[in-house]
Amino acid sequence: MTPLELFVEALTANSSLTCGQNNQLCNGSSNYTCNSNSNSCSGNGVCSNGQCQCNSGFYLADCSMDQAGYDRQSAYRQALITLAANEISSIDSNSDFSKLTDLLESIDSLTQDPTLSNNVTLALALSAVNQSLNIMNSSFSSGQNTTSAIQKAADIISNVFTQISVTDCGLSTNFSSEAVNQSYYILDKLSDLSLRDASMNQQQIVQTSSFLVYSVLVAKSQLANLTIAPSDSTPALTITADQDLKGLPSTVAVSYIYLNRNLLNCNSSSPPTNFTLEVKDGKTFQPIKVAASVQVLYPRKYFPDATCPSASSCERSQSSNDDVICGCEDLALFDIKGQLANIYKSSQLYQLNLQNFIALFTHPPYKRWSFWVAIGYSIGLILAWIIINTVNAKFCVIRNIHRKYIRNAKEKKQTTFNWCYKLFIIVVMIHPFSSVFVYVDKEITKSLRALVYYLRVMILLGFSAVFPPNDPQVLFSISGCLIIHSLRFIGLLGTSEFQFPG
Amino acid sequence: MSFNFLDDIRNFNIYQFLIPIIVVMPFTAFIDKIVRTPKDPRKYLLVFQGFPCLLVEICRKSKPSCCRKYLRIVGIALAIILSIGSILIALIISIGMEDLKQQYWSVYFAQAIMQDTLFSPVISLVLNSLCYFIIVKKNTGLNKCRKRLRNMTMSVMDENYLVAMKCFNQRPRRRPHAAQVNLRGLLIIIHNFFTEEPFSKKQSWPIPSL
Repeated sequence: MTPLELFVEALTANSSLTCGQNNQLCNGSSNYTCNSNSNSCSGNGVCSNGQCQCNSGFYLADCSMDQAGYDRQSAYRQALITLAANEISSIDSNSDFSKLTDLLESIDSLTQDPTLSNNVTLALALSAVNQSLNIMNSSFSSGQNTTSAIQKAADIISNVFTQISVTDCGLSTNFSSEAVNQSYYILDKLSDLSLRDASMNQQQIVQTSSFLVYSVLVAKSQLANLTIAPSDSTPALTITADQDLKGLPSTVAVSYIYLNRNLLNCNSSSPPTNFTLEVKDGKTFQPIKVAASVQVLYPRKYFPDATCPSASSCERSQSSNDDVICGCEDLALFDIKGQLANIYKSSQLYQLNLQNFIALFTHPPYKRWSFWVAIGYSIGLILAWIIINTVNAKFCVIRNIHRKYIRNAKEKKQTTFNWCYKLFIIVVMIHPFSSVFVYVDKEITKSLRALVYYLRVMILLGFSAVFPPNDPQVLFSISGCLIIHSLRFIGLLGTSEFQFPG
Repeated sequence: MSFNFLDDIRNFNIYQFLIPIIVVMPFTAFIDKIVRTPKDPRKYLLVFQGFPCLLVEICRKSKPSCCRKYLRIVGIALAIILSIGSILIALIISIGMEDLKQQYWSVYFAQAIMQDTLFSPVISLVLNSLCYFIIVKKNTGLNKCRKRLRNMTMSVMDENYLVAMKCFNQRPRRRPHAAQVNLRGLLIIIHNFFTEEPFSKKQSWPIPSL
């Protein structure tokens, strides 16, 4: 029996894993509403505002599951998702996508109930979606129809949003914010994927219970007056580009994502008014900057109390139907979430976790070039302190020049310096490294200045680690090549081919 | 691997080039100002905002020397913690970083160091020279506004640059003529003699040495 067959059998045999069938466990799904009856929360919790507040160690919306049962089903669920993820990774990009769709559907059903999933389940599901994205990306040349797989992947992301809104409204935990960022990233990629096979002006809409992704490929001339109105319950947009469109690519991809759950304020009854809008190159799907204004229309029926995304940059008015209209000056205003997600995504901040910290002590650090940089500069600091406090303790170039002035004045001589010498002294004085050795400052000792310089370099090291460029603009290729070759030569770097931009 | 100078220059991103130093400068300037012990603590007020400013103010009213001492200790502790923190961040990130990204990082770091060593002093020299020759030197009068502008400019300039410029622009001091001093002292004595005001200990008028 293949792992896939095993997986399907387990799924059908254990009905408690999905809520697709009418079993007792599904009474405890998130839609359950309790009443004043003492048994409505299975005797394991208190009913408050129609929702059960379970005692510790009891789960589900009706508090009917104990800790042992929860742990058992969680482990089973996670094992199945892992199995599915392994199956996904083994799929050949040229093979039929029905298998991928089936596996994604299974993961979707396993993550549907927010009360039965936890952070580990979601992390596994997101990882599986990421893997399927890679496969779909690589299958682009094979002309596969990816529509249903995209929809299933979107459903899983929707489950993630639902889970977060139920268990961690307000994104108070690091996991939630990371999961939301990752989900946005996946949605962005899904939007790109949906456009790969699309023809011009063919609207691609991926809709789930949590969000709507609208993508379209248009000619750049159409961008001057483009209307986006994917559904009645979402904000409708009209982009007006008043710039010279010559600099833009001939085909432009527009991606619009509207999340109908406010993850920062889940208790709010009014739907969120924010959305993300991104304009990309139609061929490379790289974001491009377009100086355009946007008019957003919020239908009164769905957005009775709509406020504009920015009070300062958007002008609020009302249409004849009492719909709220926001005239916003800049298209980039709607890319805030995307921008934030991009910053997080492009940084290495997610590497700063406990697991990697522990790995620091188990993996030999001497194999990393950064370790030797830190050691080298630390030795340099100690050497500098030794020099500063011994042979260089009293050396001060300014004092020497001053003495020369006094000596010449006594001898009634004019003191003149070559401009080249003056420039040299000034540069040496303002240089953060050399000034440590050549100038005695009454306000700060040489040793402390050496420490401040050391700090400067270490912050540079830390900063460059957090934000390494994805597409490095190497100033001089030779310097880049020399650094890479020397690090590789001494064995502190792997052998992956270095790619220069362009 | 290829050498594409033209591509490099064409793709040159000044923002990416300058960003490390823009990030690093405030940190080091902050620590530098904390660990300094200026003769006039009011200098802090030009640099700090918010809490440190308040701290300096409170300390200034009580014991200036205590304030300087504690600020210096705080500064040194901050410098050490930030340095160790940066090293730890770099090492932790390097554990999970993929190979290609490590290469990008190494080049980026090397460039940031080169920029900090070679490029920043030149920029600093140009900016300080502009400030010095356009604002500081041209506003030497007693006009209050000009004086304020001059002082403000000097407070944001590199102190080492000012020290160097002051050193090169010094002129031999002229001692006041002895006869002039005596004459002034004599006039004071005569004035006091006629007004019958005795010399008090607090008077700071120059008394001629006899």
